[in-house]
This record gives sequence, C-alpha cells and structure tokens, in this order.
Amino acid sequence: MIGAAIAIVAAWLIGFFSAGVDASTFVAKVLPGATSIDRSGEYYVGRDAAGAIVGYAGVGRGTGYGGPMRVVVGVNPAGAILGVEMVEERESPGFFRLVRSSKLFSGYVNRAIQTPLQLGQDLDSVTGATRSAEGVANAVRDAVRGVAADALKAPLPPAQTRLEIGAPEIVLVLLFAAGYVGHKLRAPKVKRAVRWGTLIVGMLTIGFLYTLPLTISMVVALLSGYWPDWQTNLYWYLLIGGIIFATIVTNKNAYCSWFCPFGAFQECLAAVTRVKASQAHGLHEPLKWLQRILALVAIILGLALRNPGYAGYEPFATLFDLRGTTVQWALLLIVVLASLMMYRPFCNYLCPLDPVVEFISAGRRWAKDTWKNRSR
Amino acid sequence: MEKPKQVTRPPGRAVGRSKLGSALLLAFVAVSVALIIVVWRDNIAGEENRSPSYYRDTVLVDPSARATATAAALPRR
Repeated sequence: MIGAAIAIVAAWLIGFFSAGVDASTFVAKVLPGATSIDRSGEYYVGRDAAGAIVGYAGVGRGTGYGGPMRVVVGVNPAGAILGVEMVEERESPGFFRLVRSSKLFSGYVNRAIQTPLQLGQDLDSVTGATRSAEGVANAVRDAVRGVAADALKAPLPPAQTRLEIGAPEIVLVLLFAAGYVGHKLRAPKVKRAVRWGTLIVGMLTIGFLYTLPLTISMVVALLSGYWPDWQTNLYWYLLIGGIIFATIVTNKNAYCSWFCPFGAFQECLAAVTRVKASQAHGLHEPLKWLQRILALVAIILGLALRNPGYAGYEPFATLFDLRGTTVQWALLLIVVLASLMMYRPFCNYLCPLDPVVEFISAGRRWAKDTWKNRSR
Repeated sequence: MEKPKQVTRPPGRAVGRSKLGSALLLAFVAVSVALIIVVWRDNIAGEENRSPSYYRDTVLVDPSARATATAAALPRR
C-alpha cells in the first residue's frame, strides 16, 4: 500500500512538472491571411503584408470529461470568428475522435461573438461525447470573452452558470439510497430482490440510458486536481463523493455491489447459465494482485502523462454506447463469453475500480487503528 | 461486490472440471491483459497522430503522380 502511494505521488509529480503545450504555435491557424503575429498582453494580433489588422486571437479554458482543455480562437475586427483550434485536451481518444469528426469546430467559423455560442442553441452538440463538446464550447466562449474585452474593447455580458440537476442526478441519489437501505436488510430473499432491482435499474439508466458509469479516468481526474465546476457537473461529484463517503462511513462498496451497470450486465449473463459466485480454484488471490497492478499502472499512466483519458481500458462505452475500437470490441466479447462461465469475471479480475475502493477501505482501517492506538 | 468463496476441491470428475475452470480463467485473464495493453498503446498513439481540429489531415501525395481520366469517365465513341 505504501509502495503504491509512493508510485502514485511520483507519477503525479512527473505529470505536474512536465511542460505544457505552447498555445502561440496554434495562433497562425486561426488567423488566415496574417503574415505577422504579435502578442499584446493576453491576446495576439495578426496583420497582413500591408500592416492591416486581420484579426485577434485569444486562448480560452474549459473542462471536459478528462480534465482541462485549451483552445485558441481567432476573431476578425468586426467580431466574427475566423477559426477555432484545439491546443490541449485530456479526453479519452475514442470520445474526442467524435468531437473532431463532428461539425463543432467548423460550426464556429463566421459566427458573431455576440451570439450565445451554446451547444443545443445555436450550435449542434456531439452525440456520445457531450461533456467533451461542452468543454470545448466553454473554452471557446472563454476565449471569445477575452478577445471581446481586451482586443475589441467591447466586453460581453457576464457568463451565468446555473445549477443543473436532471434525471441522472436524481436516479443516482435514489440508487445510493436503495443500496444503503438494501445492505441493511436482514431477510435474504428481500435483500436479493432489492439488489436485483437496483442492479437492473443501474444497468438500464446509468449504463444504457445516460452512459455515465464510474471509470478509472474519473478517479485519475480527481487525483490530478481536474475538478469540473460543480454546478454543471453535479453528477460527477455525487458519484465519486457518494462512493468515497459510503466506503468511509459504512465500509461497504455501495456502487460495485448494488448498481454498477457493467457488473449488473455480467450478473445477467451469469443468471442465464446459472453461474454461482463460489468458485473452486486457488487462483483467486494471485489474480487479485494482477488486478491491483493493472489499476496502479492505469493511475500512474494517467497521472504521469497528465491525461486521465489514457488510463481507461474498461469496455463500458463499447457496451453501453456501442462505440469502440476493434480491440475494445474484442475485450468486450471475451468478457461476455467469460461471464457465461464465471461470476463477474471483469469485476473480479480486471476492473481497476475495485482496487481503488479497496485502497480507500484500507486507508479507513489504518486511520481507525491509528486512532484507537492513540486513544489507549 | 460479492467475493468468490474458497471451497474445498471435490474429488473425481469434479477435479477435472475445476482444472478446466482454472485454465479457462487463466486464458481469459491473459488474453484480456494483452488487449488492455493494446488499448493503452492505442490511447497514447492516438494522441501523437491527432490532426488539428477542423483542418483535414495532411495527406502526403507522390509528386510524380499524374491525374488521369478513368475509362468510365471518357465519352463513348
């Protein structure tokens, strides 16, 4: 445990001190026709060969699924967007590929900066990568506001952030509550029925409907300090906070046992072939260590490269969003086949989240023992 | 998550089944770990190959290549 903690801290430091991307190298791409570009405080000014101003460029920041992102946006002197260029992002490559191949970036060109520039209003959102696209949109608005205030001297009205509470947040809270009540039930039949209920609801809602299961990328984002704003990402805080809170207070893994959508999917397959939880083999403990190593490598990878998206290997999006590379489909197929023969094979031997909860639980035990020893 | 219980090995044919189960489990884990490593490699490689936003990918064209008309495009005589 101490070794793992040292490795995680070392990876965090490596990532923290590694150089970021220089935004100025992208400026020329958003100021077409500019032959010279000068920096003026927080923005860039592009001029043509005759010395006339072609446009201004500013850097904006937003937060996507994997962490902070930066864009550079070019605006002409009349206040129309000339181009948008991605400087830095930390999204899962599979998700961000959808954003890149969408019309989001080209949709900004020639738009007036006074327009809302909001996804779902004057710009199309990106199905399957909503949070990544929202991060880009926020970053573009941030850049545009900077250019409007500093370069064009025509500040835009202040941005308004409103608290977003929708069906996913309500369903999540209800599932946590059902899991908490359920694990306290004494009657085995009732407990079993409640557990199956939460598992099925979790699979259908968190899994197939909203595609918002807990992933190792979320854990790495948390450790990296990439915390999104709570008003628009309340679900993120409820899910991670709920698991940490439940593990610390009750010492129970409320999520995995009661409503993990991928776990529920494997249990449904096991129910088809009537596979039981008990298995007669001595490989369980050695393979648990392999699972812990996988989780540790995923976290170190995400932290050292400052990109939570790199850590993820779970085939959740492949199953729930029917999207993935050939390798991810192959992994899902193997898990499906194995689930017909053994009980929750991905959860028991591959999932990086079980060791994370184990780690929190071990920390809880250590803190409790230390407190007890001091009190004596 | 429910942890699998360790039970004592049953005799006879069941031992064979247990050995088969262990072999299948090992094969499942080995193949999955290999695929996970490829997923990680693809994730990192995907970052290096990314193209700038709305611009198209740069396509390298052979400078000696010449545009030609296909047979189907030629008018019939």
